[in-house]
Amino acid sequence: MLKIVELCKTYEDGILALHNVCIDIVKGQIFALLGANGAGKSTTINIICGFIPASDGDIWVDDISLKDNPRLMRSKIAYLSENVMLYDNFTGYQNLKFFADISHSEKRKLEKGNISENMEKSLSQKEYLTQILRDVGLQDDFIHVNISKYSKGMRQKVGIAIALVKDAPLLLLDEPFSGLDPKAAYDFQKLLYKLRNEGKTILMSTHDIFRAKEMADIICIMKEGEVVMTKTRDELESEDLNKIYLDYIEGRVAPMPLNMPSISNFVVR
Amino acid sequence: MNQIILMKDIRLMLKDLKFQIFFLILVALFILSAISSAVTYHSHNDEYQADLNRFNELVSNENYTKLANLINHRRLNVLSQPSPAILFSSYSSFPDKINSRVIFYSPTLDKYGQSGNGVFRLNWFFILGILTGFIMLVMSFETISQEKRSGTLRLMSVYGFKRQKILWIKYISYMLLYLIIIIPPALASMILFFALTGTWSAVFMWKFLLILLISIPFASFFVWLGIFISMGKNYRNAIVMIVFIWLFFVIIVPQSASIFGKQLSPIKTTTEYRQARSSAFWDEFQAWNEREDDRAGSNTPENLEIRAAAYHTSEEKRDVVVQKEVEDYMRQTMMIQKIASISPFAQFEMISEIVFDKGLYMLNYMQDTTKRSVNQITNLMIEQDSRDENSMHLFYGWAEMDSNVLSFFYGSDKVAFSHELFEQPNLLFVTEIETDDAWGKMVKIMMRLLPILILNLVLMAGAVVKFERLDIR
Repeated sequence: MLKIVELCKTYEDGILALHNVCIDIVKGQIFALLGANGAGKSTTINIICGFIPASDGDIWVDDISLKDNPRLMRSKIAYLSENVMLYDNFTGYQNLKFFADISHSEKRKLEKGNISENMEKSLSQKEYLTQILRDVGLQDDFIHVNISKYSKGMRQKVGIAIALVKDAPLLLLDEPFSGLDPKAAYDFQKLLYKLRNEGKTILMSTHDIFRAKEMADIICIMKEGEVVMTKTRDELESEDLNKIYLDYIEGRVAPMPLNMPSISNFVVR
Repeated sequence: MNQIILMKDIRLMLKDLKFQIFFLILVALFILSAISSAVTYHSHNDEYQADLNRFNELVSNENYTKLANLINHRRLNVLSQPSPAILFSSYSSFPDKINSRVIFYSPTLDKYGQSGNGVFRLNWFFILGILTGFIMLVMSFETISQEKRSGTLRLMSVYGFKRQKILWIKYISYMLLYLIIIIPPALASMILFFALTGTWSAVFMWKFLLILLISIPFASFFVWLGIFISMGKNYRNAIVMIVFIWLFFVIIVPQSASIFGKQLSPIKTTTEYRQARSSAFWDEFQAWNEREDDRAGSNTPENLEIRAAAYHTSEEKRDVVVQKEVEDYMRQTMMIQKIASISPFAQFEMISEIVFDKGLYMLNYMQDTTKRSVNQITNLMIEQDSRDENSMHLFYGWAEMDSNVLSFFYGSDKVAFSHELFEQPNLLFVTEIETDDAWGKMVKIMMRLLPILILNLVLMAGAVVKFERLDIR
C-alpha cells in the first residue's frame, strides 16, 4: 500500500532530517511511528503529503510514485494534523462540505468523470455528510455550530470525517492523540479500528507508546532521521515497548538491520 | 474546483466580523459623503450665482466696459460653475469653485472655499483613495498566515492544489470583495447626491463609474501588499507594517513631498518678486530715457509716442517677471506633485483631476485659456481704439493721467485711449475652459496608471515567489 524507499531529507541549513528511511505498509494495517521530537516522524509525513520536497528517495502509494505523479499519489491519501483547526467561521458541516466538494471535483478530474454513482449521488445530499459526521461521533447539536466553539476532540472528529469523505485508502495521522482527553482519545481509537476494519491503511506518528502498542500492527522507532527498529505486534506482544523505546533512544541498543528490498523492485512500468 | 474555493473564500470573508464592520462603515461614509457634498455644492452654487449676477451687472456698466477704463482694470474674470465632481473631492489644493481674477499678462488665481486638511474630508476621495486601501490591507494581511495556522493550507495541499492557484483564488476573492463593499454604497451615494442637488448628469454618472473602475488597480495594490505581508512569520510585525505603510503613503510621503519639493525647486519670497517686478519696469524705462535723451519721461505732446512706447515695453518687461513668478510657482507645485506621486493615494487623486477637470491638471489649461483670451481682448481693444479719431492710442496704464496733464497744459481735446464701450464685453468673462478630448484624457490616465500597474506586477511576482517557497508545515 505505502512504500517509502531510501527517503532522505537535508534542509537548506544543512540539517539532516531523514537518512535512508525505508517503510513498507500493507493494506489494512495500522503503522505507528515512534520517536523523540526531531526524530523525523513528522518530516516523513510532511514529505508524503508534499508539504516539503524530499532530497532523495521515493514514495509509492498503490504503486503510484510521488516523483512520477504527485497529484495522483496525493489523491490516495488523507491527512489529519495534530491540531485540526479548519475554518473557524464555518460550522463542522460547512467545513466538511467544502472539503467534500473539492475532493469530489478533484476525483472527477483525475478519473476524467468516471466517478462512482454512489459518490455522485451521496455528495449531492446533505444527509450523507451529516451521516458521516454522526458516524465519526459528532453530536447532532454541534453539526451546525461554528467550529470555533468545538473542543479539540470534536475538531479531530471533523478532521477524520474530512479524511473519510475523501475516500482515500491511506490515512496519515500526525500526533492524533496529542491533547485529547481520555474519553475523546478512546472514541478516536475506536474510530480508527473501525476504519482499519473497513480496509483503510493508517500511518500515524505518536509519542503515546501505550496506545501505539495497543493499536498498531507494526511499530517503527525513529531516531535522528533514521529507522532504528521495526517490529510487528506479535513480535512485541511479550516485550516491554517502553523499555525497548528508551533503549533505542538512549543508544543502549544498536539499530536493527533493515531488510528492505531495493528501489527497483517497486517501480511499476 | 476553482469556483468551490472561490466561493469558500468569499463566504468566509462575508462571515468575517472585520468585513461586516468595514462594510457598515463604508455604507455610512458613502451616504454621509453624499449629504456633506450636497451641502457644499449648494453653498458653492449660491456663491457662483451671486458672482455671476455681479459680473453681469459689470458687463452692463458703462464705466467698467469703457476701453480707457478697461486698460486700468486690466482684468479677466474666470468663473467655474460648481459641478457634481465635488462628490469625489473638494480639491482643497485648488478650489472647486474658482472665482479668479486673472490680471492681463499675469494670470494669478484667488482661491476660495478652502479649509482644513484635504486628506480627511468626507468625500469619495477619502473613502476610495484613503480608506479602502487601508481596509483591503487589513482584510488581507493575515489571509495566508490564517490558513497556515488553521492547517487548511496543508489540507488543500494534500488535495493536490497548486500553490499558485490558491494564491490567485485568494486574490480574486479579495477583488470581488472590494467590488461588493464599494459598488452598492457608491451607487447609492451617487444617486442620493444627484437627488439632493438636482444635478443629474449622464456624463458625471459615467465619470463616477470610471473612477470606481480606476480605483480597482489601487485596491489591487493593497491586496497584493496584504497577501505579501500575510506570508510573514510574525503576526505583530505584520500589524505594525500595515499601519506604517498606510501612514507612510497618506501622511509621510505627501508631507515630505512638500518639504523636499520646496528645497529642490525653490521660489523667491513675495517681497523679492515685487522688487524684481519693479526693477524690471524701471530698468527698462530708464533705458528708454537714456536712449531718447529723457524724452520718455517728458509730458510734451511731441514726445507722447516715445513715452507710450517706453511705458508699453516697460510693462511688457515687468509682465515677463510676473510670468516667471507664475512659472516658478507652477514648477515648484509640479515638483511637489512628482514626489508625492510615490504614494498611490496621490496618484489616484491626480487621475481624478484628469477625470473631473480639476486641480493642477485644470490649472494648466486655465492658464492657456486665459492667455488666449487676454491676447484676443487686447487685440480687439487696440483695433477698436485705432478706429477712434479722438484717441491718442496710448495703450498703457497711466495714459489717462498723462492725457489729463497734457490737456491741462495744451488744451488738447484728444483722449489717451478711446472712451468707446468695448464691443464684445462677453469676452471679459471666461466660463468654459477647454481641456483634452476623451482620447487625450484616456492616454494621460493610462500614463498615470502605469506605475501602479507595474507595482501590482512586482508585488504579485514577489507574492508568488514567496508563496512557492513558503514552509507550510
